Amino acid sequence: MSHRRLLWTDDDGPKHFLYELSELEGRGWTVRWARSVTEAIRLLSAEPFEALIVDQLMPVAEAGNGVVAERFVWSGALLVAWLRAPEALAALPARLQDLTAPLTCARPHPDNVGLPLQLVSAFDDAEVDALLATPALGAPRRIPKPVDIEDLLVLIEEAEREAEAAEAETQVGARAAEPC
Amino acid sequence: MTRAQPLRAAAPRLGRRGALDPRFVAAAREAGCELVSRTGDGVLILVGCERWAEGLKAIEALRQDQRTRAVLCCAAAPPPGLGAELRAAGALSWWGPDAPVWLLQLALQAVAQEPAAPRLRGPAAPEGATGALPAIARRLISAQHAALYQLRDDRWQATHADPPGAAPGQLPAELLDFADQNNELVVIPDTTHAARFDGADPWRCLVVLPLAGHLALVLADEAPRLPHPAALQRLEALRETAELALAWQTERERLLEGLAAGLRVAADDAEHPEEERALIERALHGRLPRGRHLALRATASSAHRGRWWTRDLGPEGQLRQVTADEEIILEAILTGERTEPIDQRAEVVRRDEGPWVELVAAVAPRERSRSVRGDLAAIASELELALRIRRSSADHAAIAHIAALPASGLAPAALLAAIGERVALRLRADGVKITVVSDARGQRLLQQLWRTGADGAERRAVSLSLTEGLADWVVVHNDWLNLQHTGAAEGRPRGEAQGQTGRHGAVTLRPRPVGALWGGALPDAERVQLLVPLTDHNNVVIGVLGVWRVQAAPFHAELDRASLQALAPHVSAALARHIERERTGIELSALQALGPALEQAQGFGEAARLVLDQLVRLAGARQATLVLGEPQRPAVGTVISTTALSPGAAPRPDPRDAGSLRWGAGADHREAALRRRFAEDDEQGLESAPSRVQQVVPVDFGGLEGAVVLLRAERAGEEPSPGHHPGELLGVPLIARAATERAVRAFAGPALAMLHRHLRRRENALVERARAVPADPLGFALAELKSVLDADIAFIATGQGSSHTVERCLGSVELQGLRVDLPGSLRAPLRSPDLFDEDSHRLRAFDQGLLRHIEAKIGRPARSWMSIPLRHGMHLLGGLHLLRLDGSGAFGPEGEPVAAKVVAAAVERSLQIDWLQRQDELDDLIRALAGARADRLAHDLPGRLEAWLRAALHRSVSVYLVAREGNRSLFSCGSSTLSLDDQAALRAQSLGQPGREWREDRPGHTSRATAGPRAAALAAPILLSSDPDLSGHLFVLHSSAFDEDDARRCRELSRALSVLLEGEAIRSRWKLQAGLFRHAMLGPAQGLQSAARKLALLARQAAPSPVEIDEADQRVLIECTALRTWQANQRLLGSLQSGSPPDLHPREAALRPLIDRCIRRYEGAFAERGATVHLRWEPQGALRFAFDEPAVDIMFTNLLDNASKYGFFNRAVSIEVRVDGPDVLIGVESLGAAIPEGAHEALYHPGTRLAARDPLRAIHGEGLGLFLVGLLVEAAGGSVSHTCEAEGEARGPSQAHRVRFALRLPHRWTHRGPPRADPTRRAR
Repeated sequence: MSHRRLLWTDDDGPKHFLYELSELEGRGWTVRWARSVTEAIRLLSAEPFEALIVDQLMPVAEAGNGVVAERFVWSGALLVAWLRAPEALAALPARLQDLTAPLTCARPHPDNVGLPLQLVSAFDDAEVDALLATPALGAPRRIPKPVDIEDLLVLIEEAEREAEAAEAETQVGARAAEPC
Repeated sequence: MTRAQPLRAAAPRLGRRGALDPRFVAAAREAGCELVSRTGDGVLILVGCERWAEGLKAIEALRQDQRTRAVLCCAAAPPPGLGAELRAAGALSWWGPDAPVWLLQLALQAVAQEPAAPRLRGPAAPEGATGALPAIARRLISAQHAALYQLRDDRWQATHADPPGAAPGQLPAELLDFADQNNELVVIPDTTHAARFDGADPWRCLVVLPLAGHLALVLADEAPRLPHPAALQRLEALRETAELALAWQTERERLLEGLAAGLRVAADDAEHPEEERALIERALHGRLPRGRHLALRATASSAHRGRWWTRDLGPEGQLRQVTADEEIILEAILTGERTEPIDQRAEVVRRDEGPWVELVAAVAPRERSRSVRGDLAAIASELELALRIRRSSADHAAIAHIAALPASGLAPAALLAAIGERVALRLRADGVKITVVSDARGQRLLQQLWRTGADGAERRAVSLSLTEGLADWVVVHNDWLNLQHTGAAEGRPRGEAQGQTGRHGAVTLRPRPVGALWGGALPDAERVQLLVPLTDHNNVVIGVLGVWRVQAAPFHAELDRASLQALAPHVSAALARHIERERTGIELSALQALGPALEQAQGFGEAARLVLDQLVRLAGARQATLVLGEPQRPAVGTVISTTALSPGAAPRPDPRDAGSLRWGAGADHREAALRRRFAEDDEQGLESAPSRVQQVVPVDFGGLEGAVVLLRAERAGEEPSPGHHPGELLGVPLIARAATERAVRAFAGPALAMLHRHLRRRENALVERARAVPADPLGFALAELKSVLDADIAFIATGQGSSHTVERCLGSVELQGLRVDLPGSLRAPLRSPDLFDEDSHRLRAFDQGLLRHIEAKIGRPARSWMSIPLRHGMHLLGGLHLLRLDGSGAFGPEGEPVAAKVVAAAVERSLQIDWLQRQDELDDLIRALAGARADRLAHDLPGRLEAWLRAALHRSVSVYLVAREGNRSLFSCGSSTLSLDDQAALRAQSLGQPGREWREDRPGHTSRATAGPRAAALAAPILLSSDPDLSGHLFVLHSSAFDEDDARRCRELSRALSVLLEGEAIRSRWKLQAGLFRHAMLGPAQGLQSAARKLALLARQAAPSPVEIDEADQRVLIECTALRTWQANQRLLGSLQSGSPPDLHPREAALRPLIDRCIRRYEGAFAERGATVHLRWEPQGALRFAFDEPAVDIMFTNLLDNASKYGFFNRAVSIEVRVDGPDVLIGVESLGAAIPEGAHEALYHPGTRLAARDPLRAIHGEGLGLFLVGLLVEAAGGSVSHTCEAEGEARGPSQAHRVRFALRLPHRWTHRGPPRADPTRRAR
């Protein structure tokens, strides 16, 4: 089993998830950490991941770049929309266009488009829920804070299954290519 | 024996008195004088009868001092003037029929007694103080008595004496007469021996000094005495000064008396001959000197020549008229037929320098002629002055009478008769005639307006002649004429007459036959005539005023001519004023009649015809036409004509309407152009009856130029009836015509001004009604303007730009829904008076297709079109169109202002009504969207705003609404036409100019939002005073610029939207707060849960990693601390929100344990950020004082929490505790982000969080910490403060700032210091 890569997007950082990280590493996962939407986009557009955990309330842009590191309830949903249905961003309220502007700068890595993901939420908002209910976004799984490891493992197992299936397709393809 | 013998005989006796000066003796002998003696300083010279000259020469040879003491004696009378000559030389003379010894003795005594003295200047006689003269004279010669005598009524009477009451008795008048008449100083040294004095008076010495004005000063002594020559010289000097003073006094008295007499005369009735005679007599009375053949005559006029007056000699001296014989002599003297004097001693004196007074005097004796001449001059002056005043007064009385006549309301004939009567009376004339001259078609006519005795006679007008006629000559030469028809007999034609003129000398003229001016012979023969020109105020001759007499008594060339010339201007003025009064009366009555009639008139045409009707009546014209045009436009705009003069005739259209009448662009030739055009029409037979232009009156009609053309009938039967026109009753058509023209000119201005005011009033009333109409003001304007402007069709088209559609129509044609293309630039009323003859470029401004359509519908062409734009600010909403069809007149320019104002008022009212409706719609809009979710708001609002703005601003606009809650974007939505770039730009603009309203207009800018090359934007702020955090803008965009009215409406909308968005802001704020609340709780819970599980996992391991254990343990500590702090804050906040203030219970305790405990709680948080904590504990011991431990815990914990959040990584955190005066100070200092300017105060408000930049994480928190700290420390009686100072070099946002918060808690110790520690507790 090769190492699986998971991108965890949460501005709280890994110290709030000591146990979860131990479990993931124990199952052979490598966890990359992103503290803002723009950081997550940079990673998701650059390299493939097998799973994604997205906090709903986090900064859009990285702090220290002249941008206020203020958390927005829209951040997680915007990242999911960017990943799964960029056209849904255009339907967002105009006032969010300042938030979505950074999302238009990059496109997700092709392998990441259908990435299994979970949305971690401690902050509910009807408008955000409406966006997440958009069919194009594929009804992302949402788990509340504090994160239960069992909920997390659902994602992990799904991701592992999909990864294994993908690996199997790759091997069949390779054998078919061999000369008989 | 010669007369000198006695002197010689006396010489030895004289010689005994002293020796003579040898030099004097020699000189005297050489001169042939017989020097008798010399005694002391005196000299006595005796000369023979014929040797006065030698004696004078001898005197002059003496030294000056000797001369003043010399006496020249002679036995014979010296020649006249010698005495004065000697006195002038300083000597004294004495003469007599012989040379008595006593006289010589007195002379020698005189020169011996007086010391030598220079010639003295006499004392000044006080002016007007003749009474002082005797005293002055008595002192001068040391006389015993002095008296002043005056000749009154031929008697000498003493007037003043010194000493008073001691006047000499009866003095022989002959002595005083002699001195007075010869003007000689008379000295009688001894009355006893004087041959000419034989009175028994006690006075022995008498000195008589004559003074001017028949005064004499008499000095007397009781003893014989001959005054010293020097004393006599002083008397002479006194006489000079006294006479001078008396002359002044007399002259002044005479002048005053003359003026008083003149004024008295002026007050008299000077017209009466008896009064005139009395005047002369009064003037002569008391002034005419007594003398033989002395006579005077005063002449006041040629009609009354005064009689001769004289005074007889004798004691009474009564003034009497001269006898017939005397008058013959006097007339002969006057005419020069007699030049010899009346007697040998008489001299003829005459004074006839002026026309007023003739004075002739035959004066005897001859010596008195000089004084008589002076008296005559004085009398003549007085008389002349009086007569001049009298004459002037009489003229003024006549002038005043004539000037008052026009105001008396007399009929013209009576007025002329009254003027003539007064002139005749003043000039003593038998008749008066007034001739007028006037221009008629380039010919000057002359007609006698009035003549005495010509009542009922037929008058005729004649052409002014240069060759005959007396009045003709006066008019042509503008000069007066005074002539006499010599040999003219009753009923016979007058021949040539010799006349006298003012500037043309003597002339010979041929009069006109009376029949040339009058229908028959006149009863009065004009034997003598005086004619003067009548002029107007410009000195142009307008007639002749003449007087005549049937007797051959010529008018005085100066006196009568002056009076008639003085009267002539006032006769002219009286006639002019009469005509003017009559004209004014007619004008006023016409204007008074016009006012009420105008009130009933409907429309401009009817009202204008009322004015024209009045003008027709006033001018006696057949027809009047009002022509109005705009300046600088060649085409006439309005032509309105009256109907024919004949009553009852039906009105008919005038062919000379605006369509066919052009008068050029310049005003200079318009009158000529109108005359020419109307004359052409007459020639072309357009007029049903022959007519001719009577008068063209230029008028000004409210900025429009124009004229009234009056046509008069050429048929005699249509002449106006007399009595309607000013001046007509004076009987001279030319005067009437001139006056009528003036009246028409004078009436036309006020009448048209009245018409203009009337129209303005109606216009204002219409505008006011349009402004107040409750509904459909445009419909009101449409109906009213169609009626007022007499349009056949009226319709309103509205739409966008230049594409309009007919909304409503009044008239015979249904045009509803038709499209009307008008230029979008139509900003002012557009009028095409004549569509037949309109320039193509102007016609293009109208929808020709529509025009053709209308014409096809009604079957006849349209004639005139007027369009009035419906404007809202700068935007064209549509147009109101008025149309006149063929057969009607053209729209005139006078209708444009009315239409424009009414339409403007209607549009204004319509917009008001529309705005009220818009406000209702806005209320509905806000009500419908209030409380709606943001997504619905964002979905519905743009469309609703667009619809509302389309109705409110009358054009389709793009809209964008952006709202912020503090720095957070709260809401934004806009029209679909706005691109993302547009929206981003607008959001940026709003963010850059919060709370500001602005408008901008960028021509040449192409934008999807404005769909045109021009982009105009209007930004109205989202602003609420109750919610300062709410901000944003409502943007409205269009391709045309917005005006203030648009801004006002958008401002209203943004205000309503602000209210609407405030709810959204509040909802968003609370939603955020709730989210933060959950996040603040669940974040630590997440960390705690994970750390706990990690610890459990490690516990199950055989060899757990100590690092991982510490890490999990520290995480537990940090999250528990966070939860604890959060829980404490929430508990306190809940208490506050329930309305309970912080409940503190201070108890004495040690502070140090609390401080240490709190720091320990945050060790993990600080360690996680690499921060080191330094506590500086300054107090001795644990610092015990009374405080509320939980409250101080919360306060200090929150300060530590902030330091752990906002402090930069790897920096120190300093904690200080010390006693500062009455307080315990707890300070927490960290290096971290700056507190923004303007946020220092807000830090202590709830929900305020710093926008700190954290490179690794977002900052948790709800913005409650410092708020709670402030509340608690205030409840504890302390305070909290902070400082923020930049640290190190400036590096922008990442620059570290030293932020220090200080809590001050009162320790409430006494002055003796802190309470001592409890020894028992210490022991435990």
